Amino acid sequence: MALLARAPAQPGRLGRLRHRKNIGELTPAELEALRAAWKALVAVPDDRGYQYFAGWHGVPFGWCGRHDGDPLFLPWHRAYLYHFELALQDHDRNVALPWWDWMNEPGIPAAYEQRRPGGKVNPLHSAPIKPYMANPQAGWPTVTRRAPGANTQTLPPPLRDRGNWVMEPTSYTEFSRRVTLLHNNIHGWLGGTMGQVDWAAYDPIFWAHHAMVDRLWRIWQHRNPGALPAADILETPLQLGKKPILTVRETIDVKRLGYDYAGVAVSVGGSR
Amino acid sequence: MIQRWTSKPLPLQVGAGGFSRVDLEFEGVAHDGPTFTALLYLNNPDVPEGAGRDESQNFAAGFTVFAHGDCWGALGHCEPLREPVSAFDLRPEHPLSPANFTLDITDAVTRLAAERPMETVRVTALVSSEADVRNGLLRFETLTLVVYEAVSAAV
Repeated sequence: MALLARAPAQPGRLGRLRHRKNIGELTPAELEALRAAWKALVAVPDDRGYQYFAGWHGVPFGWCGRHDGDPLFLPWHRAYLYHFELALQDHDRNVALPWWDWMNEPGIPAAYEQRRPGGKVNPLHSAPIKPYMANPQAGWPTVTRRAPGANTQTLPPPLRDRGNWVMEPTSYTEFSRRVTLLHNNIHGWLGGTMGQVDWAAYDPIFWAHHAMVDRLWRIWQHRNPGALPAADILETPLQLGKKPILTVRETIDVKRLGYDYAGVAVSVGGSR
Repeated sequence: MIQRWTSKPLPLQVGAGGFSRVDLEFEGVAHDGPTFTALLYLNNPDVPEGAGRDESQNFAAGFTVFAHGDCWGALGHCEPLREPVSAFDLRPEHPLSPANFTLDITDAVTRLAAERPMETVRVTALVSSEADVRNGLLRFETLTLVVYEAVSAAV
């Protein structure tokens, strides 16, 4: 009875993995649910809200580390997405972060590009920038913006011809270095808010970009079972604003974090 | 606006067994300004600005530095040369500490060496950004050419 009394207010099953999907393959209902949860998260002004989590990456907290092949790059961003996704699921426990397939698809996904789909404001198109507990300073942006292709020497998506190159290494260190370079290129290509470490995470597409990076790591893990980051960083705690403060080792298995990237996941009811 | 930088010649010292891999290592790269992209060409200092990734222009590699943008803090906030205050200072290094980037240029060197003997390598970087800045996008301390020798069949 005690369990029933604590049953969640929304439908959803505890202990069930969420499958992150390609943003372009969400059903209309899934996309609508994602946008609704996103909008609700943006509306929260405290340390459960969008501005707080966006601030972990750059302004004001700056915990993202480095983007030059740092072996903590992948684990830290995996942990970051884990916390952000939980915050999103506080509003709808059935949503999961989608990924942006910049390996295979050109341009910006329509779900992030549309300003007013169906006449409603699209919270995935842009977001306000109001850094958590910070006094805005002269020159700070107040809303996200994008400038795709303004840096003419970046590679525009799709980057499919880099697929073999990024997956080829069998060492974590080399894979991390290569995927970081692809990641940097997308930040540079999209430009605007996404083109600056300090502000990038305020753009809603940041999360789909990093879900793609995280997905590439997951695919690489499938190809290289047991391949780990260097032993001397496995117990390193990652700098995060909320518990659990995960170590690198605790980010290795995505299923321990409650999600996976299966292209297709079909379930049937059990025997009870 | 494209910015250009060309290195001094770097000796390409290859043993009798040849090489298995050649890297360029940019050390101490500043990332406290606009995000930028550098495309690298070998032994072609006059490469035209619009060369892109054209192998016929001796393109070797490219990389984007995802940088922080303007400093938003008070005086000293973005000063990366913070030293530990004591032996007990276990804080991580400053987020703006200079970065290192390693670029694998094996394919380009293999291709060019097949055309004619290469005794030196001069690297030209064409650097671009979304930001409209005239110079100083690519700032770094050292560029190193690293040649990994092939494993000899006799070993």
